[in-house]
Amino acid sequence: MTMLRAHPRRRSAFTLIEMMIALVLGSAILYTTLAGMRVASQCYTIATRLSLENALIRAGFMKALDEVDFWTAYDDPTDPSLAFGGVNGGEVNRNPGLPFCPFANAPANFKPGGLPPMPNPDGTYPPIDGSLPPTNEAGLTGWNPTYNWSMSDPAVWTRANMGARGNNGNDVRFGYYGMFSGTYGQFPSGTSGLYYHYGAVTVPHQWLANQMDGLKNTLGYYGMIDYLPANTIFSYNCYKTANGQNADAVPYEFSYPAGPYTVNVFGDADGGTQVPRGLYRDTKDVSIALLPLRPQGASGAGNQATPVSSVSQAAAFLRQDYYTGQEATPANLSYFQDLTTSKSNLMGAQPANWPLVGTSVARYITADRYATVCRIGWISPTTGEHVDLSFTAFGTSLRGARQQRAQAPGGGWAQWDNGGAANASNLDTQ
Amino acid sequence: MHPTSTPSRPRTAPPASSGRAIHPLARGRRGTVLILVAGMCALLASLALAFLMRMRSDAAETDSAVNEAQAHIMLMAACNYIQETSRIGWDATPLPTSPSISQDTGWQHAEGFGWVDVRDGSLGPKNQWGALVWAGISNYWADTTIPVAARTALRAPMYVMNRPPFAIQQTVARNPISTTPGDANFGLPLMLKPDPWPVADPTSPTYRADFIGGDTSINQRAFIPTWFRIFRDSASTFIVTCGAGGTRGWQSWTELADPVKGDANERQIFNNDPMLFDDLASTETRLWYRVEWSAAVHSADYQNMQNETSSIDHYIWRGMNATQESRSQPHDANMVGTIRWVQRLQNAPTYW
Repeated sequence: MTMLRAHPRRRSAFTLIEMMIALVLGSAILYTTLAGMRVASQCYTIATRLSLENALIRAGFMKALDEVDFWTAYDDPTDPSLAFGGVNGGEVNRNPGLPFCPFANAPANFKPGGLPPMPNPDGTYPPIDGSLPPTNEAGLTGWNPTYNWSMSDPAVWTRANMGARGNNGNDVRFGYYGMFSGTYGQFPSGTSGLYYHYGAVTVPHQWLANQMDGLKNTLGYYGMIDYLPANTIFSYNCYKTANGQNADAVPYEFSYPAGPYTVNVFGDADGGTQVPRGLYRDTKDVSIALLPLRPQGASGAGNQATPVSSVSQAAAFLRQDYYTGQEATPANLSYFQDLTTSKSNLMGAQPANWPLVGTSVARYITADRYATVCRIGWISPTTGEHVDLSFTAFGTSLRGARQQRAQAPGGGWAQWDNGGAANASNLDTQ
Repeated sequence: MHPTSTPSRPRTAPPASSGRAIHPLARGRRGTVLILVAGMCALLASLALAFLMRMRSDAAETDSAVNEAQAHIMLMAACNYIQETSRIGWDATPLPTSPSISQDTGWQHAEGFGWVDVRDGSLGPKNQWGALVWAGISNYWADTTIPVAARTALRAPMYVMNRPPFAIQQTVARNPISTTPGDANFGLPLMLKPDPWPVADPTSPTYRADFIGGDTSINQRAFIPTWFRIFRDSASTFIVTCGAGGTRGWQSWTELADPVKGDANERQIFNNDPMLFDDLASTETRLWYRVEWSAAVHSADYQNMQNETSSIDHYIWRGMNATQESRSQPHDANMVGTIRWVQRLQNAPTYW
């Protein structure tokens, strides 16, 4: 204070004009700066939110690609209790009739270790017990995972009657094709059925019929198609079956034009077709389904009760086809989508202000094509906007997925290597 | 004039040693705005920096997603390659030199009969004269008689070409029907201009060579380094490695430097620098698959009878190559076999 008094003229200050100008300029600068900062801050907030959303979408995309290759929406190899009503819900895929049933659990005539009818190109047979080479096909039951189904092998050729009309008044004018091939080694003479006219006949070819029958009974329709070559004619002879057969020994399952939603009837009924046919004509306008562990149409926590509540029900879903083509109604498509599309949130728990991201996949066969349809959906927490991104992808097939898995439920992954050491057993091996 | 505004009056505070004192409030007031503005600017700068860093991080993460997608696309490319080479493409140089296929001259190209020969189930592909298509070429990658440790792999770096061979323009309507009333050609479907039209300039004196050869240099705007690699595991099974990254499909520098499996020209691409190669490899996406090829194509049963007539047996087969039939065989573009199954491997196998 003393110094101030001693030097009063040093107490320099602003004039009123200076002050006013300074205040105006300063306010303008501050306002501009604050406004800029506010906009920048808002931009940063929006960018952060978009960045987070993009990151979650990316994660969903990567998860979908993983699903394409590892099939965990259909069978979790690390979960020992894939039971109905459990936290993982869905079907018990390791039972016969379902796509992840180990061949070791297959019906007795389709255990792994079957002898292939023809040696591999290097002249060797895949590992198998028994005498070599085989003298006939009668004993060649069971699955052999290393046989390549050479198209030159007579055992893999179909011997179906491609002109047989099927069930409605078939007069077998070209003879009884059931005597050429079938699931039986011979049929006896008798007093009923067309075959009895031929007397006791030894049937020369059983291998293909047994493979088709075994694959169908062990894996269901999708699995059977996946394992059979692309040129398969879906017909084989069983001169006696539980569900009946036509006059030419073809089971009604492969010849009866009952149409979709009929359990134990393979193929569409387009035009009333009853002749043996390939995959295109069998899946024209219809689809063959696979059931994920948690279908999006399921109700209740963890997908308990619906749409699948028992092994037999799941197997039945896999032994029919569904309208998805020109005959399909919106209700048909909605039903099919609910049944075949998996549902899965990206995260079990997350902050409320984060976008909710879910991934799903649907696998089915239609019009001769395998479809793997992935979908990523997200809901904005601020606007409620729901966006879906869907795409198809090419990756591991059902057989590949089965070869990835150890046999025991919860046994994890079966690693494969070509370094010389024995590989772990998987769902296809003994 | 106000005394405080005389030109001789210093605007800044005098040094403390001068003995002059300024009121503390006056001293602080002079820097207030500057400090505030500087602070705001610093905040803005930090926001901008954080924004840029986040964008950079997002871009890097997006790259990994793009690489994953590219690698999956390579699986499709590799399977297509396996399918096609089961049958076609074997007339490229170097031609097999085995005397048994000396007839492979002139118009007739060598054609394979499948990785497992469809005629007798033997190891293939063999040509129409029964000889393996690589006969005469030593250490060929498809030769499964070579022990796995010494067997090579097919390596296929992929890129978008500036102009592929035989490229045609993707013009939807080269000859649109005139919709101008009064036009002499109004409403007339006329083939006034050739359709399709090549991408290469037809007026160029080198047109024919341009059209056939294309411009196979890399289209840099669409370039994402991607590759696939195929190791023949058995007669019909293959290890497919799908990659997105800069190594051009080389497994390691050790392989690249190997006197048999390596390539000196390829090493030049990496500037002969193992560190550069390892750096590229460390940021690369690699996926391993095992697939099996089958000679089976589509079933030959398309509309082989009048399916609306179900009261009698009959054998009215439609022609296999009837182009007017929407369901006939030409609509199946898989005359080179099919991929029977695909298995993603959890880890890299020992040999690939």
